Amino acid sequence: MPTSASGLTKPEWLRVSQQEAQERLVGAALPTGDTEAWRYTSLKNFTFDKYSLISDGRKGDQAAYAPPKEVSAVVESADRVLYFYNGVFLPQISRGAQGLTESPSLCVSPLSKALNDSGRSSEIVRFFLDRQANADLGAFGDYNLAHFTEGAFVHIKGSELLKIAVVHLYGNIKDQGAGAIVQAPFSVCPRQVYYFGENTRAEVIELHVAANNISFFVSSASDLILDRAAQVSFGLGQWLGDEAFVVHDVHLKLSREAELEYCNFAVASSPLRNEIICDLLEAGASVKLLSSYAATDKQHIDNSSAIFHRKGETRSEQVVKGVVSGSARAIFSGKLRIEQDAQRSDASQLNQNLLLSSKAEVDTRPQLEVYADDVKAAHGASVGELSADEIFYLESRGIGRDEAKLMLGRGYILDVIGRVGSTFVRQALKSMVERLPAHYFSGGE
Amino acid sequence: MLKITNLHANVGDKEVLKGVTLTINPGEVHAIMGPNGSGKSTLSKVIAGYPGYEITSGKVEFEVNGKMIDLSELEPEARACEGVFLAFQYPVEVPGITNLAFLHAAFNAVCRHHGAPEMSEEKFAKFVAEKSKIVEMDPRFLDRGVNVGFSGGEKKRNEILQMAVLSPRLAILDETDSGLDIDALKIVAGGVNKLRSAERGILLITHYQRLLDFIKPDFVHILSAGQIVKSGNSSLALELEKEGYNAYIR
Repeated sequence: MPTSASGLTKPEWLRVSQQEAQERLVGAALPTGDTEAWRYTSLKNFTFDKYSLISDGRKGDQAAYAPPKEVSAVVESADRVLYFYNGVFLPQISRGAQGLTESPSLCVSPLSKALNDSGRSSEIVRFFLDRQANADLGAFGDYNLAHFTEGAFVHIKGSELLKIAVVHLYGNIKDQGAGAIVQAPFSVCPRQVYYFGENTRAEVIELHVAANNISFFVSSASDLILDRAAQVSFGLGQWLGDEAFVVHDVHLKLSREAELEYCNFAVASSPLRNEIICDLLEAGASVKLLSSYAATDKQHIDNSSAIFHRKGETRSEQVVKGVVSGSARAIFSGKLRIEQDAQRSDASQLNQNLLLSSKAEVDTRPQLEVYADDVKAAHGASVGELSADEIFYLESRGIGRDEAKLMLGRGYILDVIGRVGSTFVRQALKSMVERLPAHYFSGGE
Repeated sequence: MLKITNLHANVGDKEVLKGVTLTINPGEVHAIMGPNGSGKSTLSKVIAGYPGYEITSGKVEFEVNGKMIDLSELEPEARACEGVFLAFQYPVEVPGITNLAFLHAAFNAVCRHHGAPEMSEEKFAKFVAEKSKIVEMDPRFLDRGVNVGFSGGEKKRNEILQMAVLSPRLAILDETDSGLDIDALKIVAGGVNKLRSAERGILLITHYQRLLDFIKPDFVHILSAGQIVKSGNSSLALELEKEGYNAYIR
């Protein structure tokens, strides 16, 4: 069975979809400062052409690749682990990958394999990707659709509670021909489709980690579909380095009574933009959307989200919190739309920032659109500094000033991650926060 | 072990302490009583090293390794490591850091200061669980954010738990009785009594005599307008209760 893009024979429908996305991209304008959604993240120096796609001949010797210790420690307790290096599946170090043909109730497989499956998984992937192809994805969405070759496909139907890890590692590419390290900026387009069937439960972490500071472009996309009464805890961890340009698109779709807790921790890049669309499609659907971040030096992070309450009695609770130091910049724009049909819905949104330097900048832009009258909707935003009382409290217990600041800064982020119910997901993200170096919290002007 | 001599201190531009002199020996429990604004809390913060509280004249000395040293030369964390502990009137909430992680970091910082080996997380968890009994604290509080969502009584119990864990030589309890109902007060006072020892000096700062029904002091001082106006034994507190502060206010 082919396990990498080199072996992928694309189904006709996908070839057509990708072709169309490619055509839309030609001559498509990138968002500018006038585009509301991209107002604070400049694309002035960005072009797609600056980055070359990794072609099949340049994948390097991933076979010899071993994951960093801190990553393998995090995924140790997972039941299934899929590893990718620069977007290529690594079967040697992955665990428990299996397709739907082998197990009808559970599929945890590289996307390439699912697409080549003559049975159900190919149909499911098609169902979601085709729907995507018809939506207005924007230039970045089209770029991913046009170029993705690999990623994860997770399909859960059984009753067993599973812990799944999808790990994308990135690093310099060794040119197989010459053995030299390819320095030119390259791009990687991983794509994930997660489908959680009716009444299923799952805990998933998706990690994107760069091994070192490499100049590259990650255009990634993940779809999470929760069928009726599915209960899912999902964690996304991103640590891609100062030189990375990252655009990560997430689409969440929740059916009746489905419950999702989604928690992201991101170390900022240059820039890192997370775009989440959350559709609460049917009554009783409930989402807890948690985002946390750390940014320092000249890093830039842009969290953009849109939550749609489509039907009645849906719930959303959004908490977005981060620590910003140096001359870094953090942006949050959060749209919350409660449709006319969504009576008795409950929505809350909170954005808090800890600003540790006078050169750092935070922009927060809540956007509430409420079209139903019998709903609860609340939002709040704040930007603050570490208080002298907090620092003194720790000092008065023997903890030095620098350590106190480090603890308080990490605590600020962990306050978000601590809201995750799943120990597996919480610990994975927590361990990333605990590895954040002290200069993220020292101000660093 | 603590010698305060003619201490003058400012908070901002205002002189709050106007010549306080006080000596505490190991094993002694002193109570400082006084009306609002008399400088009680300022005194406790000056000893602990709160930033912005400036000593303009006089001295606070503390015995370290058999020698009296000027406390103002030590950073707040060094004072803590040398055995000065302040139980806060308003304990600070620290979201995101569990009580256990906080206590562990503090305990290990003190160990490091003295060149002693740090304690592993596992061993420390057992050690703290044992100490929690002193203030009848549910061990589940250890997994919660420091003071986050704690009631007034729980916060004060948590302060005494920290004292039990850090085992200071000098403990200053700033209005530890404020905001406590009678049951919580009994538990907190009971905890303090269990921590009384021949090596430890305790300074109770309080507005009311009530606390002293449960923790019997060896000495009572009345602080008024930044000076100690009268000192005596525990009967002074009873006298004060009868006559009110007015009889002593300058």
